[in-house]
Amino acid sequence: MRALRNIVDIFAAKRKSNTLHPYLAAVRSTLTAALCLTNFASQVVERHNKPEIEARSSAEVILNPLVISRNENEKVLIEPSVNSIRFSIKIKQADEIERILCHKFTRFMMLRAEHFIILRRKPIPGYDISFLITNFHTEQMHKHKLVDFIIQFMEEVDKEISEMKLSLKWRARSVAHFYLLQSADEDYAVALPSEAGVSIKSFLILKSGPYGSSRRIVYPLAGSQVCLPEGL
Amino acid sequence: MAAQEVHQLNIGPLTAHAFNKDRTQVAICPNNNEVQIYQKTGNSWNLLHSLFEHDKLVTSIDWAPESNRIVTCSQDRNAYVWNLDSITNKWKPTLVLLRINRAATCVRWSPNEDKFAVASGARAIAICYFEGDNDWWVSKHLKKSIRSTVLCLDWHPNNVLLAAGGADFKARVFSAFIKGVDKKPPPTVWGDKLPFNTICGEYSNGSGGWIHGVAFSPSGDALALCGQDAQVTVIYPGKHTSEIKLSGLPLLSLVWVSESRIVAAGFDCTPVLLEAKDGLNWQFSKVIDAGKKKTAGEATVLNRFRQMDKRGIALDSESGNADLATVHQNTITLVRRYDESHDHVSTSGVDGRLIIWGIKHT
Amino acid sequence: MILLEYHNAVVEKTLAPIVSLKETVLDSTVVDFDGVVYHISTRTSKDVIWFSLSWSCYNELTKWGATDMLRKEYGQYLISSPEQGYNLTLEFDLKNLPSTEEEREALVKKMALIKRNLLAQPFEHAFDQQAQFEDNDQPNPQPDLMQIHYRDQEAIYIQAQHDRVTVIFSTLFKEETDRIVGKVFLQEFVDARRLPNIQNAPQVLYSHKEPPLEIRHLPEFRHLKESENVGFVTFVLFPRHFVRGDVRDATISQIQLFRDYLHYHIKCSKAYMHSRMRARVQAFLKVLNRAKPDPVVVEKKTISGRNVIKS
Repeated sequence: MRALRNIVDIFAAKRKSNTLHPYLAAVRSTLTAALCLTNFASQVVERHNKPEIEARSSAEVILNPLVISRNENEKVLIEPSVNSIRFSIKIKQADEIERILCHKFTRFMMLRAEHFIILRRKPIPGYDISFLITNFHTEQMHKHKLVDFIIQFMEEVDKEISEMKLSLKWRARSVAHFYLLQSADEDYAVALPSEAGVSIKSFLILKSGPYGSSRRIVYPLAGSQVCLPEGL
Repeated sequence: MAAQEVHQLNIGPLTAHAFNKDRTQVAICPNNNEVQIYQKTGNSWNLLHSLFEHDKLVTSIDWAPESNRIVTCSQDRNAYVWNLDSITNKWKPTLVLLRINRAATCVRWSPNEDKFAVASGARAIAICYFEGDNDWWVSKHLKKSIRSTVLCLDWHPNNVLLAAGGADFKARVFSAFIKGVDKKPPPTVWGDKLPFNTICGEYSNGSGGWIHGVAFSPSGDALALCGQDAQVTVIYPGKHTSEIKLSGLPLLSLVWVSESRIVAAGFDCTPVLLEAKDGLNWQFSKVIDAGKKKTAGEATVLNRFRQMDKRGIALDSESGNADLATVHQNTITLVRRYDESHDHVSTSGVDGRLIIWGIKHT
Repeated sequence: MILLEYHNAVVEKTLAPIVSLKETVLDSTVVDFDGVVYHISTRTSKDVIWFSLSWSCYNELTKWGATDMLRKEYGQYLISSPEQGYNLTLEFDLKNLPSTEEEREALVKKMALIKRNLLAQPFEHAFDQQAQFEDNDQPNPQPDLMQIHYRDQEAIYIQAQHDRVTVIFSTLFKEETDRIVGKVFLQEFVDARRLPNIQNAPQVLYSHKEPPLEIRHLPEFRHLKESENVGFVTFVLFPRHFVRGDVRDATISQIQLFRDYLHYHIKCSKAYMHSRMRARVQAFLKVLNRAKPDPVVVEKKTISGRNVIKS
């Protein structure tokens, strides 16, 4: 698994140097500039102080929204206003699996929006997750660290989703092999991740099965190690 | 450069601060509906009074140096004038009839201290003066062509002209001449006939954006404004306009320290000094707080574990220390002149710090 | 644990008195996969145990030899009129059981396998019919397409053909996530045979929403709605997979549990993803916490004068 993770890291680093880095740098500086918020009471409703980007009551305190796009599947939308900004991310989803994993993950986070303070409970249509940062948040928290958080989130959410996908495929493969290997007539040791995708701690020796006869060890995925018990 | 004095008066933001005449007391708002007055003893500040009368965030405070009156305004749409009762030694509020129906954003005494202006979200500026007959403060509204919330104010030294900047991307110079209070002022570069509500000039900053700060020069012949576009615009009416583009984040407040020097501050958490070479040629001079190298905080074992548990990172590791290199740890929302000799300015901001900077000629 | 067991461990445990011959009072309802419900009780006296089973597809199974099997394997315990609400009832009189403990253990084991044995009958029938194709002495039979609606909306279809037996599972995914995760799993089942050591395993085919040819004519698929997340998994068994004896038994047991195995692992994956997300979200929270300034340390004194540092 470590070898595998290394490979993933190398790929990630490679990608980063290509386009991810300038993309994130652009998001970072735009976000820093957009996060210049002041306390601004509503000029429409008496004694109210609401995020103008959500209330949208006066046009002049809302700035032009801005899209930073890495490609058509990965982009962010920044909607600034005088006392709040909305920051929405469209996360890369290459296929059905990534789509469902992304949906599950963002939903999981949004259900915990109260812990995340700046997270919006619902994304803006067309995006997967949205943050709403108001002047009250920038007053309580370090602005540069908020930006760091968002950038780190953007970096890691992609990684997390592809890792989840990998572990799902891995488990699926192991499960299929095990089921069908029940039929093999040799003893097989198949390394299985103890919790799919984390580390290999367990292996299973299959009983002799009735069909097939080839003596080979199944590697669920390149890069994993198979431990054979003594005497096999 | 003289060292700065740093006073941490609140954990959260300070929305406003104002010193009394001899700078032994300061009135601040700790980001709520309260106004606190601190007395300076030695090098520390002791809480002297807490004034509770507003029921929403206090947005601005001004302390009239000669008459020793405080005026405060708040998002609850009200303003109070506070007088110190010499017998009980308590501050007594007087409600001002502002007649505005939105939040008040900024309040400033006029130089003669006989009237004050209150900017508001009701697209109006209330010019308030004392009506002896009824024994209360009444107001007249400046409304002409104001299209959005007024965010900042500054009085001209002649006690009549008032500069205001707002969220409608414009700064304007109005006449706030009140019959019976003001004598007819001598002509200025802004005009000579000045009945109430005359617009003497309308200006915008170079790239547009909300005007967060306006300030007249000490002579009153020039006006500086700063806004969301991170520029400072200096206007010599009828003559010359200078735009100083800055590379940092937007500025929120500015003040003239002489005819040729301006201190401005904002989201970059540090004040910057602008200087005019040969009178008109304005340039960025320097960042007043250049920042210092971060020093790793001492970390007890307990603290390290607490940090790891809460943040997943130890305090003294490279990115764990959240402190900025600047003295202000967050946005500076207000820069004010500190003393009459113009050698010092005071700044307060979202980090709850009140800092007094020496800016003597070097 | 990656493989599921064929027998029902709870039944085995509950029927322990049969082995020990200890008199007890029993009244428990035990469930199994596929909506099977067992009722194990002592009615009239402490030494008579009733074992009843109900299953929605029981009547379908009786068509394909379940009754014969019951008579043969469990005959002496079977009572003619089953308990109210159940399909069949067996009665065990503790005074009238095999004498050795081994025999009684085997009996309990057999009871724990009763569901497997019932569902095995259509398979046996199909294998027998396929054997007739092979056997030149017998006329080719008209192979039956056996439908066993073993769950509410899911069924097994078994049909013998002249050189093989096809077993088709219709499987329904209730949620979108299950459907997509299920698809990943099923695709792996299909692809697994590319590996040299698994080439001899039964062939697996998977189609989504499109019923295989063998069952396409059935009325229940005529109006298959687009929205329904129905998938079809086909196992192709060749005679080498059902050589009489252990091989045949293993194949039947395994195939029966296919659906449970699949769904069990889909659930495991989801649970794993969930715990992973929880960990990741926790990590994100820590990153966000870095943005919060340190709490101010307040020093307080207790009554006894000790310093308490509170943050």
